[in-house]
Amino acid sequence: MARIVHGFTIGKKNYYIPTILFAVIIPIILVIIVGKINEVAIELILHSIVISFLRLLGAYFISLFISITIVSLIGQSKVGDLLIPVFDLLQNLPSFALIPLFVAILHYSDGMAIAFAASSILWPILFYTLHSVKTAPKDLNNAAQIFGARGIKMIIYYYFPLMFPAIVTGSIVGFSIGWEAIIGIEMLGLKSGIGFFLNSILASSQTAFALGIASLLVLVFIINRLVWMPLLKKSELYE
Amino acid sequence: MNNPLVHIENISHRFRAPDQGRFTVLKEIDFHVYKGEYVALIGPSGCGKSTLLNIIAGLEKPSNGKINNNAKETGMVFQNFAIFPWLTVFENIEFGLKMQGMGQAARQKIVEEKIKEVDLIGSEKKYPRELSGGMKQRVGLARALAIRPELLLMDEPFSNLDALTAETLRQDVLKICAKYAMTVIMVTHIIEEAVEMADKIMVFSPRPGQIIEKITVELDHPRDKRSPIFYKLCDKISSLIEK
Repeated sequence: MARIVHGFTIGKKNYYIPTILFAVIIPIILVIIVGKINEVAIELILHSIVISFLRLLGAYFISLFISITIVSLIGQSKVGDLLIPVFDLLQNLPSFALIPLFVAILHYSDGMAIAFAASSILWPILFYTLHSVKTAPKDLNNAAQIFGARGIKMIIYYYFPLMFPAIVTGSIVGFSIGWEAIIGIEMLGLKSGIGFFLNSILASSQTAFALGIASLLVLVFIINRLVWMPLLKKSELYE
Repeated sequence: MNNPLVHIENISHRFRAPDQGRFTVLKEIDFHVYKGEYVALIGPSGCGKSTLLNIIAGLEKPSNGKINNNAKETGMVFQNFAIFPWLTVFENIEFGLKMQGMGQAARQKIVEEKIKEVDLIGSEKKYPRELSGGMKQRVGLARALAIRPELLLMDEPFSNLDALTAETLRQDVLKICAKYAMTVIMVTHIIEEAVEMADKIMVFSPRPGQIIEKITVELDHPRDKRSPIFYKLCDKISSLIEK
């Protein structure tokens, strides 16, 4: 039996993963071949992408942790209601306006890039998860409490599964915002990462620039198809 | 008589609603529930019956008065089932036991026993969305029974079910309660249901809910719903609520 996720068929016999890997390997091989022919340092592109991706992962997990903690603590309380307008105000503040503040505190560094990206990724995850908890039937929360879920158990066995679909959708949106933030800050002031590479290579090699973009697209595609789509499918169980 | 399992003393409760300001939902509620009793709380919508059940469950604190729930374990069955959509039937039933920290083997034994008891054999691996309303409520009941509650609270447990399913489930609940000599407090707005199932019926006035009459039902189980005494009791409650 097959199921369809965003137009992609996921087979029970896991044709999905080999198919996706095939769809990924071909472009990678192409990127390497074109790179070799044009004498572009593919290793440098891959190294830059890995650095950017690690920064993004760091920012993502910080955002995820903060969101889950905030929502678990205040999601169903009156404090949560009071804080929603505050969160809304903060998320409307353009994150790039905060760059001078981040630079003043952390200078241009890995930590600064991660903190800056986290300040952008946080909002979609926070709002999606907050909404999921706010709109959950009150009886579900009562049932969890009556049957003994307290403290950390309440978070693990009630809030986390309740929030799971919202975490996935919030993460998909947050991750794409995170890419923008990381690449933007790398272009502005960092000396490493794919943003820095693209910014510095365009004048000297358009082929290297195009290969950098192509490599980035391949990575985004891999994450989308091998991580987000299966999680999105899994999240249907939680609704 | 022994000490009451649930002791409710002069409870009043107020709510704050955005459009109505502060209003009293329950006023000076006073009654006891003894071990093995089946008590029904009946009254018009909005008279605070479910709020009182939540107070007994410890989910809300009363604005005034005192409540002592001496039950070691309290289970609850909800009107909208409140079973977790991300868990299978088996996992839903074992939820309370897992929270208690019980080992897997012991949990499995109890859950299998409860699945048999509420007639859910073959549905263990199904998710709530694959179940009918009646089956969902059976899961809710099994989850409550699994923790071996000394007190079972039921908030309009049959009102979201079709008539036939509700009647079958009512009979099952009566059998199970008799088997374990369970203490039950059930909220209902169906007079016949209260008379059919309960030993004591607390009749509530419209908001602010006050107990206007405590009725003891001295009919043996299974109760004949066509008997004159049954009708008489139903009429009595009906006239009290309509007053």
